[in-house]
Amino acid sequence: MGCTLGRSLGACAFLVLTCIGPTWAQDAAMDIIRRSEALMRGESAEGSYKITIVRPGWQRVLEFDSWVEGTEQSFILIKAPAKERGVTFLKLGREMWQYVPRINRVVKLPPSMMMQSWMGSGFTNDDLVRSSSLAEDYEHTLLGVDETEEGEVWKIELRTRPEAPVAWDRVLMWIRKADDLPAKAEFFNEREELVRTMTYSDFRDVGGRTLPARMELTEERFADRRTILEIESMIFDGSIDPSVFTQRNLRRAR
Amino acid sequence: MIRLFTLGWRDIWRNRRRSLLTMGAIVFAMLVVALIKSSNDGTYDAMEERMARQYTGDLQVYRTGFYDDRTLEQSLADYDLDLDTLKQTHQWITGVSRRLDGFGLVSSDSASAGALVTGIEPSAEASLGSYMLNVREGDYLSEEDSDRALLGEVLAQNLSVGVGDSVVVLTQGYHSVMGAEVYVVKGLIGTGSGELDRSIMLLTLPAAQDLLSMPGRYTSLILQTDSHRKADRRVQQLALDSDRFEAKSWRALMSDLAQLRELDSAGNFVIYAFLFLLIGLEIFNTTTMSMLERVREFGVMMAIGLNPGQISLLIVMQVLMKVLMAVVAGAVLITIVTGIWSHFPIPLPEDVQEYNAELGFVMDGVYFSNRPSIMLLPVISVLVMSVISLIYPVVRVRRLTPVAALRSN
Repeated sequence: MGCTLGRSLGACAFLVLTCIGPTWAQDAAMDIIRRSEALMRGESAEGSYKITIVRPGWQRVLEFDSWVEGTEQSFILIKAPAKERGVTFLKLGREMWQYVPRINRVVKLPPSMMMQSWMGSGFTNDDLVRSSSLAEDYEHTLLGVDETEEGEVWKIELRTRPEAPVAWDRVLMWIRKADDLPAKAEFFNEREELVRTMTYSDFRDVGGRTLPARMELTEERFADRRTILEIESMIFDGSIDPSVFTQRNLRRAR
Repeated sequence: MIRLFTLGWRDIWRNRRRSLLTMGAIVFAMLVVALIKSSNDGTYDAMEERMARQYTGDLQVYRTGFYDDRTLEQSLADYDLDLDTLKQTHQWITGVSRRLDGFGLVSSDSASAGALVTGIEPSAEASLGSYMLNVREGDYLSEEDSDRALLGEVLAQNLSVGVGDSVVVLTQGYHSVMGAEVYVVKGLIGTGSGELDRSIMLLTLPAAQDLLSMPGRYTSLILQTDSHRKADRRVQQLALDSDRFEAKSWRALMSDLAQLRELDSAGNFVIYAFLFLLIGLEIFNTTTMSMLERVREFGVMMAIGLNPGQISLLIVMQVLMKVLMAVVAGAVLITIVTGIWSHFPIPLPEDVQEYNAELGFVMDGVYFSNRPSIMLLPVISVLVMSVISLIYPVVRVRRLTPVAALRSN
């Protein structure tokens, strides 16, 4: 009798452990990603950035300001170089517009353009307006803990939720255990091929919180191309005037 | 020898009906095979010539690497190649035209679409006979047009614009500098190729260079030559510095066309093989029969002093004479029929033409080739078949002894 009870208890414990094991790993992974994304993104953010596009034989630098409110609204204003100064982008929900002062026209970018290169960089239009959320649009699995020069990092696998409108089939992220900030991310397409790698560095105080101020993107297909995004300054969770996210502002922003 | 020849000649006409039937079958099979090959070659020749003229030109020259990568940084500058010198060095170059191929987002007030933005030299393209001349509505570009564009008719439809309306183009130009410009639609082109009609936007070369921030540069040099068939050889003759330049023939540029032709020809070989197998059996039948039924006669001939070698020679001569006559008759007939037919292509129905265009091929009819090469296959096959069908009778005759032959029935 006691023997049977002991055995059943053992079986129960085993069942419980195997059942909650994966769930716990998923929840933990989701929590890490959520914290990380909240740190990087904030509820709203205003910032100045510099993008350096490095190609064999030439490179160019773009400077822009950006305003982001949640995942639905964002606005970008190009400040340099002179030829592109005043070009603006507005994203509302899933729609995106671009304004070009030289011809004084607003052009609506079709959804098919969202994965096209943004201003010739390694980033896509989609990257710049950040329409997808790493926490909400993916399912997360904690794969383990890796040891790096800068300390321990979580290794987390993100797989697309079936209905999520996202660009990547699978993302591998390495998140620093110490401060929940990303160290590296690898993006895979639906053929399970590594498409691009983002490396985060220059962790320092920006706008009141520690962030990777430098992100470098390399593409598998073009080994000799790099895009470097540097944060110049940022303000988190300040209040952004709702009139920023309007079509009228496309023409007005300076 | 002469006597054997005479004997052989007489043997052919001893059974006139059978000989004529055999020869008739050979001539017929040759004609059928030649016509299949003639129409196949003729149609593909016509298609290749047109597509080379309208789309790719006979040859294209690029900066090495552009063909695989298609980036504007790998473009040619005007000072890279001296076009006048090139024409003088190679007398076979009959026309040159520069094109600048870029990509852009074209928008009207109501819609946007990705487009191939191509800068062209209007008069040079006109003398090449390019597809760009197929203006369905409005007018073709002229050299001075700096703010005018031609659109593929399907692209224009997708954007809901017509001649006289304006469109906005956004591009990533040279070194990814953003380009933006407004153009007035000057004309709509219908090329017959579904893909082009959906995506092409043509500007003058200077306008495209301006839009893409690359004055004095272009991506491809189109060369028209005296004969598109020699294009592959011409690539070698150009002898360009391969570190800097890369030349491609229309055949390399439209590899699916070459593949289609190969596939079609391979399919036809099954028909040829079947026909020639039938003809081979027919020749074999007559040769073997004319030997078997004359075993006794051969016995008599051997008895009066002919050796088996001479008798086999007799059979060989008889068959070859018969076959040669048929082959000559067949060749003459093929020459006449294809000669006449090559002037009268059979037009294809409208919907079949459209289907072909959707697949990206310009094919409006069945053309017949009268090139001598179409004769090669039928003539050689018939001769080979005859030689093979001679093996058995000759071996049989060689084994004959006069006594056994005389006694046989």
